[in-house]
Amino acid sequence: MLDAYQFAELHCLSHYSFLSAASSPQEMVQQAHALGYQAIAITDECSVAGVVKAWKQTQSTPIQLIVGSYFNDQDDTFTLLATNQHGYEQLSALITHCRQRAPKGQYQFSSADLLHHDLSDCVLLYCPLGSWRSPNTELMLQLAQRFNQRTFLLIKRDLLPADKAFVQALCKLSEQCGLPIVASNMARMHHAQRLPLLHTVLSIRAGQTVAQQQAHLPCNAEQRLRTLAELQQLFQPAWLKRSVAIAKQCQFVLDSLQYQYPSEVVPQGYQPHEYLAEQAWLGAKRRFQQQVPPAIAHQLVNELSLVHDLQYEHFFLTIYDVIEFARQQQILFQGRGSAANSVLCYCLGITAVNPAQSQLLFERFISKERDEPPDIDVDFEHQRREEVIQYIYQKYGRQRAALTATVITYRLRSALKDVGKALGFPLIQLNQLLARLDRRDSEDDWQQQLEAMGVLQHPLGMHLLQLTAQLKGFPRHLSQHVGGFVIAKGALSNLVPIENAAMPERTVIQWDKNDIETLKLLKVDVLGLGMLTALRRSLDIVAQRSGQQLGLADIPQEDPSVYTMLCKADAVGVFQVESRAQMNMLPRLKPKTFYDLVVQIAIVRPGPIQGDMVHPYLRRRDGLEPVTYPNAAVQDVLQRTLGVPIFQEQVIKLAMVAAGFSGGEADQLRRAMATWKSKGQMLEFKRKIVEGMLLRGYEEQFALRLFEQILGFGEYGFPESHAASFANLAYASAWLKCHYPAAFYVGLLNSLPMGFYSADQLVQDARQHQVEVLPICINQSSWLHQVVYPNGKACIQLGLLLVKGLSQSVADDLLAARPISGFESIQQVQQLQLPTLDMEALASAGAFARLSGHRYQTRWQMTRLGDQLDMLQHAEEGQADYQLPAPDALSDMVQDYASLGLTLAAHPLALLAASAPQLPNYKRAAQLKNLRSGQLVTVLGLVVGRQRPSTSAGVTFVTLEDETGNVNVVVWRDLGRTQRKQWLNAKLLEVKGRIEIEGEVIHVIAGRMTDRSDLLPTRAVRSRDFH
Amino acid sequence: MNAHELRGTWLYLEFHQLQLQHWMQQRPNCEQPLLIVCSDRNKVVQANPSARALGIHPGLALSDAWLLADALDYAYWQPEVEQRLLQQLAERLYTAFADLSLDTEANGLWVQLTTQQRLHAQQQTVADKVSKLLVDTEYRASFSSNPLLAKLGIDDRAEALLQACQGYPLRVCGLADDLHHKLSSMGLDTIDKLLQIPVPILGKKLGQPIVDFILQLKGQLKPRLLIYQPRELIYLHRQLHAEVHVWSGLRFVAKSLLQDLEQHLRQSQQAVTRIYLVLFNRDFQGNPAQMPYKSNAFATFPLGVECVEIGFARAVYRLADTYSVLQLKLENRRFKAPIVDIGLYVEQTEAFTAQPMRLDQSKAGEHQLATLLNRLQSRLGADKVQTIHQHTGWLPELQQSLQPVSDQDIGLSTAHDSTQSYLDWRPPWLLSPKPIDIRGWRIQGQPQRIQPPWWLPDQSGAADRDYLIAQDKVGRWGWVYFQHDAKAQASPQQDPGQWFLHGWLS
Repeated sequence: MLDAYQFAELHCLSHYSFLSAASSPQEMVQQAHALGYQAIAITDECSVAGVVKAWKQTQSTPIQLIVGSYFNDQDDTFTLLATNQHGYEQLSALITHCRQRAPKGQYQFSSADLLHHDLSDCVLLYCPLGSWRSPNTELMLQLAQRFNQRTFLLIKRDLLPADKAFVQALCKLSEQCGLPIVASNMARMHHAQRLPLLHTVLSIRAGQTVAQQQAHLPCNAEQRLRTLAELQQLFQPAWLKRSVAIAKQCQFVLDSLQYQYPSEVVPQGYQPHEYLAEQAWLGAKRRFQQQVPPAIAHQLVNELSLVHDLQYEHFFLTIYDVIEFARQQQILFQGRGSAANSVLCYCLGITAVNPAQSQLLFERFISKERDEPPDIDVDFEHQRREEVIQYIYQKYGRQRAALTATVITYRLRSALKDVGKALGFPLIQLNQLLARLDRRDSEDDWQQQLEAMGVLQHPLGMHLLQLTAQLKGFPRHLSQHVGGFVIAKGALSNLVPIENAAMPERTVIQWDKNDIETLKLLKVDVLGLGMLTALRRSLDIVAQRSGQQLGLADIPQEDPSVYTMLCKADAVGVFQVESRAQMNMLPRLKPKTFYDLVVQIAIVRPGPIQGDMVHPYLRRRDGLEPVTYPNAAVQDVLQRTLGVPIFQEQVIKLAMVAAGFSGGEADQLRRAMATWKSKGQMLEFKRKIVEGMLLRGYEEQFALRLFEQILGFGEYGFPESHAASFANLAYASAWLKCHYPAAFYVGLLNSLPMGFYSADQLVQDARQHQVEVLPICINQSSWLHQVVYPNGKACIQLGLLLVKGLSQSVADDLLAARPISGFESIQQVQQLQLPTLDMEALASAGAFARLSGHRYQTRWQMTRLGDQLDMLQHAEEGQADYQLPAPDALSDMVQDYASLGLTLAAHPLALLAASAPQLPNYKRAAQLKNLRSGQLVTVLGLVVGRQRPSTSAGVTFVTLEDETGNVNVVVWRDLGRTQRKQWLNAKLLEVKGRIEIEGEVIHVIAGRMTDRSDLLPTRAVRSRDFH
Repeated sequence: MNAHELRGTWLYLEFHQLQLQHWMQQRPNCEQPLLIVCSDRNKVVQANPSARALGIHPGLALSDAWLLADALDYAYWQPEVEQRLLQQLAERLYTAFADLSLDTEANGLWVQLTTQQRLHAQQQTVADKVSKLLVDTEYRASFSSNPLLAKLGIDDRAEALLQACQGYPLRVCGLADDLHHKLSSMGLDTIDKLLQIPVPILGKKLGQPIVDFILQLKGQLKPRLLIYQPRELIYLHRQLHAEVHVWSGLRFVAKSLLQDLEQHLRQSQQAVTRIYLVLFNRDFQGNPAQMPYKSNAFATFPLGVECVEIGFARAVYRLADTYSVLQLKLENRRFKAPIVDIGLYVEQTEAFTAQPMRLDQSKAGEHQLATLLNRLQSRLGADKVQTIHQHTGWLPELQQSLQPVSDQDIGLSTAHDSTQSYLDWRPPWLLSPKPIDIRGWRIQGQPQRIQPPWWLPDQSGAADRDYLIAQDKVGRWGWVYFQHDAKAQASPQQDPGQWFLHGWLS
């Protein structure tokens, strides 16, 4: 009988060998430990994507983890195990080499690579699965010589027909080549129960059903981690013991990886802390006009000292270098997140949150107790972010800089679809199931819903449910993170393999951000924000007119007219406060100062909502409830928010001042708040908080109430610094809307897609603000939308980019050839010989209206057969005289939507009302404020928005648009279920219900809904659905 | 419409749900919503009244249809089925109207009535005649002065063309997509709008197709029509001189018919795999010299007609081959009534390539085998003569199945899809698993472990099997397996499973 620890599994795959294995690295580690293995090697295919997660598991499951990877060459497998750090670097370099010479997701390897690469600190395990019948002994002898007693033959026993012959062949091979044999499960799953899942993922990978693939699937569950007793029956003792001996050679541990910062960010002659301090103080003087307040100075000194102790100078300087590049290129940027708590970041110009305006908590960003590197997210203009990314690549080179990975995992839809296809369900049936599944239905989970649909009546219905549940969360493939960079002093492949991303000129490492955090490597996030692009565009337009360049910092602060506008919920297009929920809150909260705006942004979040902070805050603000504090310490924390904790930092500070938490404990609380549902740690914190507060003389009721509020933050409330960063941008965009509306809308329109609203809705909003919008014109439009000033008044000239089917390159050619006085006829444009489809697109968009009158006539004039037959050229003379009748208003509207996605003609409903007598009687949006609350009402409108926030308990908010404005409809959960067919896909919706009016806020509570989409002449009206 | 001169009159018959009607006739009184769906776009193309009542209509996506009706049933659209049905309808009409043309794109038929004016002077008479011939078939009939207008359902015989076409959408006129798109992009979406533009101008702008279209509308250009040609159906008939009650009385006549058939087939180098013997008794009202039609596509033959179908394993033409099988089929048959006429027809023939004489015994053997199989199938029934087919599968019993013999089996091919390598030997004939006491056996070698395929309904949850070769006390080699207990929690040694014998190696 084998003793425990007399076997080490040296070759096993986790599900990071995408769609080749059926267990996670954590499961493999746990099972190996439970079975009494000495060690386990996670050897995914040409990858180490799973090793960090496996390593993290070994922190709580004591078993040796060996880092390795396997490579396939014509079905023979070559497994390499790292014996030390140098061996790991060699392995990583080989993986990088194989990945980078193949497209994304693939690799190119041949056994010859083992002879040409330095792998002197790796162990090689060779299993001739493909060639054992006629083995390549010459290769084996070469490998034996090259690896010098570090080469072994890997043997497996699957209890398949060829088993016996395979073992005999390998024994013979071992004798011939002098390679010792070592045993392995070659496991693809940790437990036999995963066999159906293994079959399913292998079939998904092959693009066939399980039944079609069965000839290629393992017909038993032997490719798993087996018990020691089973292994003893299958393998010779010497083969088993050899696995332990090999494991003892492999002593590399992941957390021994040394990360070194790039050094070129520190100029010669400087020490890192000196240079950082110099730049910080220079920035402080800039920020505070040479008079740095003492409190700020004191804080800056503390922060610099802490950064020096923790040796993070290079990190800050790396980011400083990037933002300086952006500044020189006049690319707008702003740091956010926990970094906005830092005075240092503010002085360096990374963030824009003035510490004098907000209460910052530096420990939220960095502390000695946190024991994790800082995380700075910097947003750049989304349309120019690529310039910043390329700057990083150019400065550090592709060997030293790469994006972090994102693991794309199976969600419910994709899992159900892929499993269903693998089981042989017709695609049409799967699409039907998915179409009927309400993923946000919190009452019935998806399995219950599918059962209710009768899935279990299908013979494979139970398997569909079970396998889908197992496959959810499984990795599908690696993708690139949106902007997280890892930059190293030396070759990055010494740390982690690099592979090609799908985008050209992009490379990505094999670890995701969680792995980076686990190993405490530093990451720089270069993110894109559409609003920054929009703001820059708008400010440029204002500067063109005024002759004076405006930056974000130049915008006048605390303008009352801006807040007046926001209090009326006139916030379409305004950053962060344009959602339905925000616009409902604005008339209630009535922001009048910058800090009010910070609160506004933070309060409409799941954290405060679920912690029931919103109503107390509003009542106190309106003077309906007294503001009280148990003591001065709590008052100090909560005074700015009237005694109600709204920001994450407040919760952490309260834990410290009221319950006596240390900085580190408070940080643990912060982490637990984000994961309390799964970890269940909050009960322990409840005890600490309540006991700590009772000890300090607080009332139990207050303590329990505070804890409930903290629980609500489990759904993530905003840090104040983060809200403040966003409030900066929100105020800037509101100021522009208030004072320069044309520039505001043009900035947004030129930056789409972004934000909540479509071009159509933005244009409607502009017109409701008396901004004239001029149609597309062949002689007036540029590619982008512009602000023009006919008669001295700012108007929006729509740009050619709106024309569906028109390419920018063709538009550029057209604009280059356009005479200063404009084209005089369609024929003149046709002489440019632009592509036909682009010309048709322009005709459909009505761009030639000034030349020909209407689009029918344009198309008539553009149609010609003369090119085909010379003799018809003369015959075409006089044809242009034939005049076609113009389209009616409804047809024009339809074609406007089809070609531009919007119309400048009358609103579709106004046209319908004139032409469709069967329209029901309904109240317009503008009429609702004259009704009384509780009155029954019928409304009708285009569905331009459907939202169901996660905190809404299944309630859906539908926005209808008619010719006078928007109507907010509330659909309760149960009604939404029973009338789902009416509202879910409707383009035009009639709602009979009851009106509710609370101050400026008007809602219609739906009672009976009817889909009237059949009355619409076009389905091209788009809505913004958030489900 | 009252009596009309039918000179220059066209009748168009449109059958817009042929496949669905075909299906519904197989399921009479069915109230379930039934749909025919286009497989590549998953859209409804045909819907029965029950489906339409629920709001399901052609053009709707099937996924949307499911939202409206939980219990619907659907089949995929098969154009070849509709073509066949259309042919059958044409066959029926051909008995009354000689000038038929097929519209295969739209499942329609044109009837030119000019030559019929002496026989069918009134439109209503024609309509009645058509109705009788197409009983139990849904169709739309329209008369007009030219084929295109008739197809469009526009009757211009009583008013000017421009008025008759007022508001008629061009999108249903069968124009090429790009041409229609061009016209509608210019606001020319109805026929009357098009007719208002001078033809030369239209032609110079849009080319010949639009000119042709307008000329066809005006009856100045006849479209190319696919003239209907009836199928060549082989029908042979003999009248009996006396009533016949048993097969023996028919033998001579049947042989004579088959001889004629052989001659016909030999001349045309054709062979048959199926022939039909039609037996008429005194209850038959029609003319047995003409091939009797069924009242609809699926119904039985008229009263007084018995039809015997004879199939052959491979195509044949010789009397010797056909008669022996016919004899086997009929020698014990009881007729419903005394037979007075006998007919023989063939629906489909195939080209026959004469085989050269060979000394190759295998080919001779194949021929003998084919003959034997024909006789056995005729005697016992086609489904009673079976052979072993190999399949891909894990469990040995799933790798084999007995299937009726087909033409492919006669090739005596020894090659079969074998997923087994030479290492995976197993007995060719399996037993039903028989429990054994393993103590009486000597096991050889290591097991092969097979798990039943979990995706098969009757195998889900079934336990693993370990297969081994073993020798019993008297020296026979058997193929045995140990079936693990699926619920066994104990170690394998204590697994309370069972041993079975599954086949013999010798």
